[in-house]
Amino acid sequence: MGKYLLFLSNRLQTVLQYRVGFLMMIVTNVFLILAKYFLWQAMYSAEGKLQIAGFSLDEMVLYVLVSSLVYLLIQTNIEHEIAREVMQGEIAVNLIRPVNYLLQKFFISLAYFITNFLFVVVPLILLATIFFPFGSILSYHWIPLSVGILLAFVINFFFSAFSGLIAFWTTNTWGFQMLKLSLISFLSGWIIPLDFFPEYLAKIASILPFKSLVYDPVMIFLGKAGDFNAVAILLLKQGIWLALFSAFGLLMWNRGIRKISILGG
Amino acid sequence: MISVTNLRKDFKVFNRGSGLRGNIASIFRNDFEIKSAVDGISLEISAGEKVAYLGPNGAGKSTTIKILTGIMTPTGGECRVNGLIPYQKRTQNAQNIGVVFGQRTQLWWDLPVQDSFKILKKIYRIPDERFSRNMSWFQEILAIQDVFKTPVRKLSLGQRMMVEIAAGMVHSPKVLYLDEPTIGLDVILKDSIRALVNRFHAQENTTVILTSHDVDDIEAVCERVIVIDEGRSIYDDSISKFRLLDTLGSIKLEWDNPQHNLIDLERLIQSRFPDIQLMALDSLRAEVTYDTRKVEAKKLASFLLEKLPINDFSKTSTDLKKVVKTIYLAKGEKLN
Repeated sequence: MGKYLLFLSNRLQTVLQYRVGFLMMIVTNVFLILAKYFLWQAMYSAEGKLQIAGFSLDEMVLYVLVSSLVYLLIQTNIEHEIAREVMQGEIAVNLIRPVNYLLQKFFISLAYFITNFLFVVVPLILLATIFFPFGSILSYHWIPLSVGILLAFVINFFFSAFSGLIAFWTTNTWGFQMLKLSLISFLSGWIIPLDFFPEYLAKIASILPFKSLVYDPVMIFLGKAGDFNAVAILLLKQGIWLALFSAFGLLMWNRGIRKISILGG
Repeated sequence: MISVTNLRKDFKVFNRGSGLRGNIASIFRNDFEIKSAVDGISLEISAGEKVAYLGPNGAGKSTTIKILTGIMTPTGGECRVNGLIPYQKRTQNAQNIGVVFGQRTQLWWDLPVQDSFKILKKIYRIPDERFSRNMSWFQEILAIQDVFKTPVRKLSLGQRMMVEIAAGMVHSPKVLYLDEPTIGLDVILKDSIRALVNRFHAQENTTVILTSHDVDDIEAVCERVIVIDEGRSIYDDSISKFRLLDTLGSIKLEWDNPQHNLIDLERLIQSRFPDIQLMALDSLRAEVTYDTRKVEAKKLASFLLEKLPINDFSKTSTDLKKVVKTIYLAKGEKLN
């Protein structure tokens, strides 16, 4: 395990060299959150209702905030790296070492999780508590949220690995990455909660794995996911998705390296 | 140590038409050919052998090395390195091997050199005393400490290659694959790198597989030569026998006064050695060329010294470069 922690600490060092990047991410997220906030505020006042699709305005603001942070935390930043290594043949260097490639990449993506948490999420939470009075923070469900985020992170890691490993079969990984981005940002409930989807789309989204990445953890956090049993079932489902995604990711890795065809040097 | 039987690697090569029209057509047509990069190679290499693995560009050298290192899976045949099938037990095999690709870096670009070695120490779980001994060899032969604090991306080509070589050997691998290790380096550094490889071989009985287009690398390191072309093995024997494939001997002669009667001199030599040729290089120098299979160099030399008005005399040693060239030009013809 020691060597993998070393990959983690190395990447931490590299990421920490680009401190301006964190500031940019904070600013970007502040604008995104504010844009959504004003949009919802306008919608609630235009409708003249206290609740839309089961959300009060305060709940909606909290949904926007927490879902943005969850979405940010589950980013693994790994698919471009994997795709590039596969396409340019750099992967060869990783393959001649006694190191598990995917495990190495997992620890590398943990570096982004840690730095995003410390230098983007924590400052954003502090900013948010200044501008939005939420009442008692402790009344929300922090522990299942954390479990949900960790599971979502690992699921998304395998999904990202999958979309990077696609480079074994096609050099046009960009198309797939765009597809992945739009699937996740829409069907995970990051853009709007699934409750606002038309019925048929909500049904589709509820079968697909993406809502367990953002929507489920946030709803659990807000206490809107139902009783203890309902929450347990959601987390269990997340676990099942994790098992499926990891199995699929590993299968893809095993098939992929057999296809390796780095010609010449 | 290494055992390869009937190894094959096929690649699909897609025929894309040329121009816009051809490219559009190729969307609907799945037209490809199977090309064999490695076409049934068999070889046995024992522990501690130093083997030159030669062949013209595109012969299938790199592909074989990639299969042996576990990067690629072959289409057919079998290979074992130290008892393991490399592409099935990749990580286990990786613990035993060292690989240096002359054209690809395996160091950590942003980190200082010494940090790269710290990582390697951890990755390969190198015991402290072996690590420090190997580092002391690197210092003694390559003076590696001069660049210890420099980030890899700031190294010159020569410095970087030096560090790459050390990085490929720091864990004392049982098998060392060197793919063009001295490409673009100066003479001094080439010599140091060869010396380092020989040091490891002498002390640890490292098996060395060397691919190089620089015949001096081969002369300095290898005891055995394997040549492949078009995916097949065309030569496999000791380097001394390999050298004998150069059948064109040559002796250079120099005299004090311009000699104008070279034809007479040639006739004189030919009276004893009918298969020689004498050619003027300039008015004061000439070259005798002969077929080493028909003429014994020693006898020819003493004859020349005795009968000709020679001032200076030099025999060019057999030239591996010439042998390699002859073999490459023979285009896949089997030589032994």
